[in-house]
Amino acid sequence: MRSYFVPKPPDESVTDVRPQRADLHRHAVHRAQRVFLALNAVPFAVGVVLSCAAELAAAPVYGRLTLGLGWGVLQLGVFAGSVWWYENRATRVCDPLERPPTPGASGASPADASRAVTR
Amino acid sequence: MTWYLLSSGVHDPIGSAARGPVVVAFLVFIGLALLWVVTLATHDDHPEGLYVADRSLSPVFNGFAMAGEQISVLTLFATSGAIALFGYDGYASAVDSVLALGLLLLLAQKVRNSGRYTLGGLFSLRASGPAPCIAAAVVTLAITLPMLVIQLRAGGIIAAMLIGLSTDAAQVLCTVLLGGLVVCFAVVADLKGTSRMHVVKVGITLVTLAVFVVLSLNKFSWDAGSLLSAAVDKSVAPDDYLSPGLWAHISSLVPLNMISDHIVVILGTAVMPHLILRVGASRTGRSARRSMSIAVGLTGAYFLLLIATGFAAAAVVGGRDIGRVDDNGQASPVLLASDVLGNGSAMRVALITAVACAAFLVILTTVTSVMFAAAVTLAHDVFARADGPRATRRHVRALRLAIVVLGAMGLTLSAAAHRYSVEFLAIFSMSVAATCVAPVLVYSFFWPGFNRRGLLWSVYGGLLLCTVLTMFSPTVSGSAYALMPEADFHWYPFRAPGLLSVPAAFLLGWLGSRNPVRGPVRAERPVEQGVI
Repeated sequence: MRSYFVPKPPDESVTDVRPQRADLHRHAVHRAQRVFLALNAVPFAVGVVLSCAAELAAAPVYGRLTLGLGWGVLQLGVFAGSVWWYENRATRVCDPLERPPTPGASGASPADASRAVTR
Repeated sequence: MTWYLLSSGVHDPIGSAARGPVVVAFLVFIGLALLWVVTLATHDDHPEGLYVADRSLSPVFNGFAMAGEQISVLTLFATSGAIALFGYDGYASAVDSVLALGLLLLLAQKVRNSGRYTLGGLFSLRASGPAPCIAAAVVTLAITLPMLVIQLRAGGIIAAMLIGLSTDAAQVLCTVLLGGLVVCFAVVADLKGTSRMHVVKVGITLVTLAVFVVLSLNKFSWDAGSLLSAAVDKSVAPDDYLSPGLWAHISSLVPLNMISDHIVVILGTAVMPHLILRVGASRTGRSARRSMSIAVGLTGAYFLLLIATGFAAAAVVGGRDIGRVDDNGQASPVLLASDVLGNGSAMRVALITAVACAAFLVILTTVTSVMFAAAVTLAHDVFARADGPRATRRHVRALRLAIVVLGAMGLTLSAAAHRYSVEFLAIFSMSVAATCVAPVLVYSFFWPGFNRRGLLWSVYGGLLLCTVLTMFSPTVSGSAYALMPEADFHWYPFRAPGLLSVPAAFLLGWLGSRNPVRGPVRAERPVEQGVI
């Protein structure tokens, strides 16, 4: 999920050095994706470890509820929360950068609709 | 392990008194559903209108339909059965099925922005010529045909049980009749019509499962702990029920088997061709992402209810009784509907009828979706490419013909394989998706160095590995649940090939792309700026 930033030649004017709108959008999207992956990777890794360690997964937590079952519910909760966060973040931060700017503004990026290449 | 406790037999869970009203109500529902199907039939000759509804589906509508795609015969019956019989292993599989949507959420906007909606289209993002499309068609068939066989077979068995005929001949007859109905629907339907049925299915299924959970909790005085205790006590192996490793095929090398299952379920579920097609039907990339977020919420609710239903079935019916009806526990929702209320009550008849109707809708919609996506791939990537883009009427005819051929093949194979254990088909199908599609999509969208050679190496190498490893796995020979339980020629110890095949496919894709091309250099197609 790395971004592919291409450095500008040193002889370009000051206004051209300013990060382009598309780059900002790409950075914002990649950052949101990285956070989303990190949020879910940790509980998932613990879940995989639990599913590999039978004694640990079967350890009682509350009544008959075991660590394995409880962790699964927690995983689903974290996942649902992270999806909500990702959608919220993409709507508030990424989508406005993707839309064409107001008339007169520089650094326009292609609109979503114009990107929809149909074969 | 516990396989000796689980033997198939002729069972009649509904009872003769309730059967009459259930069958009548079920047939009335089928009649109404088919009438609705006729109204949904399309005469549109425009391929994009048929394939992706002219990319007009709103985020909420497509989100509900996407959630409907997750409510398949496999999840509703096999996953709930696995939870009821094998406890933690089935539970972990259900959790993975939800997490898989996270990968699709990350890919959805890019897939929609690419403008492609078939595997052939997506494979062609980084490679030109017919080879990527042919590879995509091969992979699509390798994924969808086994899925069709399993879903049709499971649907036939459930339908036969609902009408009280559990003999082999009755099950094959039900499979063929039900499959014939589904093929007829798929031939006249388009994506928008199928989506409407998915939306209705989501409502009916969620309400039915919620009623199951409420009634089961009521039976245990609203104490979830008592319900779980009863599920453990009545299971086939109370000491191991809430531990990993009870699932029949993973008696050896449990940790690695579990990791292999996690890989296959998460990567395989996310990149199925019918899900890619549905993502492509969104209005914009943002709309696709939004619909995935909605689908995650609905699917999460569905799987939570399904998990509760699985444990409720184990608590109310008992793992041993569920295992006696069906080795894989696929009958557990029907058995729960039959046992959770007392004999003779009208509510019991209504509940069994609701399960029957939900089952019919699930079979109708999921089989149609899978078949439709495969037919679109064949018509769009193979036929249209060879025939040229202008002959749109012929493309539509090719789509219809492909559906009929796929349906006939699926029905023939499911009838022929009726007596055999076909669990390996589900594993093979998901493994091919995880091995041949997921690496290509990840590389195509996130690695600029990925090229045609890497794609072909990854796809064909992964497919070959999946085939060989599945053939020599314990799902085909050497275990009680294998396709050939009498024979033993397995040397691959894991039930899913994903542990080796997925890393190998990534490696092959990387190696193929890094290797210098010899001979005449073929122009690589740069991926569109907006896609990355």
